[in-house]
Amino acid sequence: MSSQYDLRSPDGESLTVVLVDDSALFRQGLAGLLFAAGLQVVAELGNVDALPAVMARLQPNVVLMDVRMPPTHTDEGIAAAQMLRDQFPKVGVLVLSTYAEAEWARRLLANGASGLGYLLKDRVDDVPTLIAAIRRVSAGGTAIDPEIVAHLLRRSTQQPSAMDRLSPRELETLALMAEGLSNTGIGAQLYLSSRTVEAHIASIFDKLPLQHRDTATNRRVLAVLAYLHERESQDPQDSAPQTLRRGATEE
Amino acid sequence: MTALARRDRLDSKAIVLGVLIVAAKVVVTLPQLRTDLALVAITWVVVISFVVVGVALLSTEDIADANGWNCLVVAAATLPGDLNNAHFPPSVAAVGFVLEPTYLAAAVALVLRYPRARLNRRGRFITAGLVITSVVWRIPLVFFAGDLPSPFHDATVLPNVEAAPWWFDWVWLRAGYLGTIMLLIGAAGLLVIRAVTSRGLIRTSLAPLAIVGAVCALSAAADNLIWVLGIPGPQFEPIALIRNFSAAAIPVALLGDLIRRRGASAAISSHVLQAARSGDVLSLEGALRDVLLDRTLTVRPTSDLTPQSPAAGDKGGPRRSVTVTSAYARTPLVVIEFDVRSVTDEALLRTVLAAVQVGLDNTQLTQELLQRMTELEASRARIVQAGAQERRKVERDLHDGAQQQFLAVAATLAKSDFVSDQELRDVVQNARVGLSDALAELRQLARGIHPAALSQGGLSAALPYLCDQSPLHITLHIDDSVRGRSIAPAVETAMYFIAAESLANAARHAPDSEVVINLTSDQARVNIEISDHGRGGARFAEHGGLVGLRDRAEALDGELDVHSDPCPEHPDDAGSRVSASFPIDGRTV
Repeated sequence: MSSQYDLRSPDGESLTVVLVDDSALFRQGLAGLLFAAGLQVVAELGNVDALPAVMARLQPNVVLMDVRMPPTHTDEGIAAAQMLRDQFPKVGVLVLSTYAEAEWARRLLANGASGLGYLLKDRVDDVPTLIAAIRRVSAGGTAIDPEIVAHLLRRSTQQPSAMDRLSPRELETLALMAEGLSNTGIGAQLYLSSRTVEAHIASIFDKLPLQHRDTATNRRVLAVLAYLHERESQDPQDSAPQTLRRGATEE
Repeated sequence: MTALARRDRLDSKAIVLGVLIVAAKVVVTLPQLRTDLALVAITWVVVISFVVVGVALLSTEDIADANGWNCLVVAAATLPGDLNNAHFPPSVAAVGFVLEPTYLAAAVALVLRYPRARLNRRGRFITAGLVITSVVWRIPLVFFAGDLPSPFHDATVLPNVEAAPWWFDWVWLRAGYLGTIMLLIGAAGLLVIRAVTSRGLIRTSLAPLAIVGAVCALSAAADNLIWVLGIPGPQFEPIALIRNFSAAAIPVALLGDLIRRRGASAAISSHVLQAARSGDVLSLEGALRDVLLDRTLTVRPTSDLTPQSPAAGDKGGPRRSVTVTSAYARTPLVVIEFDVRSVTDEALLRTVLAAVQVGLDNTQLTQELLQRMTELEASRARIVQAGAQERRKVERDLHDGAQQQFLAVAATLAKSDFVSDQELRDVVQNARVGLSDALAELRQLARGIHPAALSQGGLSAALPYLCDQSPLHITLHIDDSVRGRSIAPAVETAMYFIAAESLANAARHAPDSEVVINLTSDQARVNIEISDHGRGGARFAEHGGLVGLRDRAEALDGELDVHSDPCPEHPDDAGSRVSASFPIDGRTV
């Protein structure tokens, strides 16, 4: 069954996963799904209190974590993800949230993108995307939900900017870069050869004043996201949709 | 009252100046003075001024009409005196001679009465005495002449006149004139005493009239004394001049008093009003002391019932206290206590009290308004806050409840990619159970936001449903008067949530007690009461559900009360009672 996806860890074992979510019902459903998909769910937690101990004992490959959890139900997951990043740098952390909050994504990646991901919970219905994201973060890569990238792109293209000079294909490539896909991944998504993808990426780097002309996927994600965020925050008429505002107005 | 005090100083300067001017005029014109002409001219001035002032007094509401009529009587009473000379036939001159002193009685009656409508007992005695001693006693003088010179210009022209007996001069001339003199002195004394014993505004107001009246009465007395002594002659004409001058000054004094009253009323109105508006009892007291010129006057709130002793250093005349009552609330505001002698004029007192009332009412209304506004602002802010809080709660309920349940269903269904056909049945079965749970959760949430039964069947339908959902033992009475009544939807919703919140409270504080819900209505209002016999924990806690509901009730012009037993009045009872009342149409009745 699990042959559909490559779910092995770097040492060839099946990936081990810890689930942290205060909704027992969702945890149960997700655990069932991951188990069926061939992952090993080694622990399920209702909050982040016991997480460091569990991490030290079980040493999982990936932690899947909700954002709003007890005690304050605000952004416990983001803070916990940063804590894991510091203390367990080799463990991939995929944050699963009900909302596509660009602000949470920005804070999550504030100190680097490697091994971090932010995905909408809706992706439980999109098993390939979910599994691919889990795999990417476990391998030290980055996974940003297409919803967030699309949102940032939409906002960025609404105003005159250097983005106007990108061709539609280049825009698609930029979005996938922001989601954290490698050149190969982008090529697979767009049905393009890696050479064509590389040409698009070179063209994007020529047209946009991105901070790093870095080809390493993780830093490239950061550069693109930072650029898109910056474009967004320049928007004079702030008509940010609810999901964006909430991150800024609620503590 | 600085404005009035300054005016007083100006007055006295002007008076001194005016007196100097008149004195200079008299000195300068003395050489060309022809006495008889001057006397006639003065009587014209007197008559004119009495007529003018009489009309002026009659046209004002401040002074009793009797004073105006009295002025006209004085003016008319000067006429007979002018008949007493050789230009008129002897019989006419005789009548004029007899009636000549009526002007004395009329003038004395006027100055003693002013500003009241009626003369007091002493005033009536003096006036009647003057009529008798001067007018009636003169009649024999027409027919007889004694040894003394007669004031009748020519007693000998009448027929059948013979020399009077030796006692004639003593009984008729001297006794009558002496009586008149005594009464005039008495009148002057009364005027002076009245001015001296009065206090405050009345004293300053009466002083000019007292002085002028006393001078007039005394000079008239002196004029009479000349006849008693039997030494009439042109050398005494200055006395008659003084008498006529001071008589001419009486209307001026009256007019001055009238103007002063007008000014005082206006000043009082604005000054007292201003002080009363400040809401400060002490500054009101100061203002009233200023305008009534009574330094012993006190003002205190009605709540302060300790009797106050008058200020030290004053002999302290009889005191009077007046309670000023709010015009709109009919509640006592302040008690004003003052020296009776300072305010004998009820019209003035009414003006003062009206100004105090308006000013204090104004202050109180303003304060009440401000307080209500503050309350309203707070309640509005709470309503807005409660709204936002409610939305956050709904979002969180959705997020934590139904959303996670649907996501769990999605995850369960996603498992179908990995399971065998046999296992697929279980996956679908699990997903169906999850879905129906999620739907139930949504339904519950929707009911919390707005119960469907309320929109469809109104309060009478929603309350039984609410009671069915509760684990408590509830007795629900819905009065027949409520069924079928059309109640504003906002009112129904507010009452529903008051019941729901009360039941939730009862479930916490009185889980084993019977809860009684009573829904009643009358003409204009609909009432609900929820009571239990539990531990009585219901109260308005800050940020509590009941405070939010009270705000909501007040926004609909309703009331929400919470009572918890045991309380001092019901020490043996226990339990909570929440009662609310609304206008049926949700608007201000």
